[in-house]
Amino acid sequence: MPKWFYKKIDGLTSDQALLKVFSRGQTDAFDRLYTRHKRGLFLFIFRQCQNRAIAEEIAHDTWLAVITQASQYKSKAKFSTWLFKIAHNRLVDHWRKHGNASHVLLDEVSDFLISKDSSAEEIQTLKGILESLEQLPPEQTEVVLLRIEGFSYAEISNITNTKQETVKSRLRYANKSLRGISEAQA
Amino acid sequence: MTEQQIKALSRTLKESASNIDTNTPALDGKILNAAQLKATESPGTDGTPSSAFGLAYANFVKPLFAANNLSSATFSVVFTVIVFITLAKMVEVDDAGLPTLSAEALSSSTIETPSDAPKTSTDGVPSSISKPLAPIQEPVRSFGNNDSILITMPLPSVEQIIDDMNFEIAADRSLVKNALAVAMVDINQMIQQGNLNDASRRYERLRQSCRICELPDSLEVLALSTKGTPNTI
Repeated sequence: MPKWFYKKIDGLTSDQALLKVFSRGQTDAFDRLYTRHKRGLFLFIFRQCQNRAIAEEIAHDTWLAVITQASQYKSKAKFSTWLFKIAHNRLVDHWRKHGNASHVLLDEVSDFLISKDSSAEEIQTLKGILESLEQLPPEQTEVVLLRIEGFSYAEISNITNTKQETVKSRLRYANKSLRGISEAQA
Repeated sequence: MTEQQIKALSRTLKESASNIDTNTPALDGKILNAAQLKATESPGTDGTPSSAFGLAYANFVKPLFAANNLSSATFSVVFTVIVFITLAKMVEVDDAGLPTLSAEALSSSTIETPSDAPKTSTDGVPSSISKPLAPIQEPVRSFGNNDSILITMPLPSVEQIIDDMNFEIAADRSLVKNALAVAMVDINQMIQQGNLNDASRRYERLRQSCRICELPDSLEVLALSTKGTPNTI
């Protein structure tokens, strides 16, 4: 098909439709799906891993699962929810084997704040939050990151395979811990 | 962490993400190759539409039906009806637009002009036109013929059928005989009631279930294999 055709319908094409078309053997539909989500997914994984190589490995496993399970996907949930759920499962497997001692988030934001010429106060505040975030259990950090990513409580509950109440309480505990740490720092 | 702090963090993470190199060509290559491989393993052989049509269907037709609470089955029925109506229209146009010939005219070797037209043209040439005809072939045996075979020819008895079979184990003979006896009673009853299709189906079922019987391909052939006198119906 000509490129203008895909450009025209790109905005109208839902993730679910692309996945369905891919499961029928059309690779170009997968290309579009991959282009659309690869960055968001990679960042989500990278921020919870020790380093880039591991993040790439987990992202690879996640996308392979999408490829092999495309025909089994049921459009009850959004594709992004399904995708992040697979990534979550892979991350949990990784944490079980290697633990979670990621400093990626702190390094990333520190570098950014320095490059941005932020005020010392601003840097201090955000660094404080991030350091606190890194002291949280991984499941609480993940809920915060997913919330920041724009997922609803229901979607986070689906992704993390927990009840909505658990998601809310994790977020509440995260807030409480972070506030406690911030107040202690102040 | 207050809501404001979450927002600040969210904004910072979004902005800082632009500094992270998410360009992973090696990973992209691996994943896209895997997708290609998967697609070639299971191409769209399930009668599904091509990419363009698939996208169009998934994005326009399906939502349209979903929005109106209509199922794919409804779509199929509507589509079939439209096809039939279109075909009917085409036939109507054909009937209206072309001269028709009677069955007699079609079977004769000449096409006669209408009765009020002159029988000969001004130069004396007859107005009938010779129609080149293909050599007439024997008609293919129709269902009607098969039906008449079943109605007029008696089916062989179970003993006659069994006699034509060879069994290596004696026990097989009695087993087959019992199954045949039951089936033949059913089949004969169906033929007497005029349910010839049901009889043929029952025979086919018998044939499939009793491979070792090596029964003839059809009930008609079985009937013709008998040496009995025709029925008088």
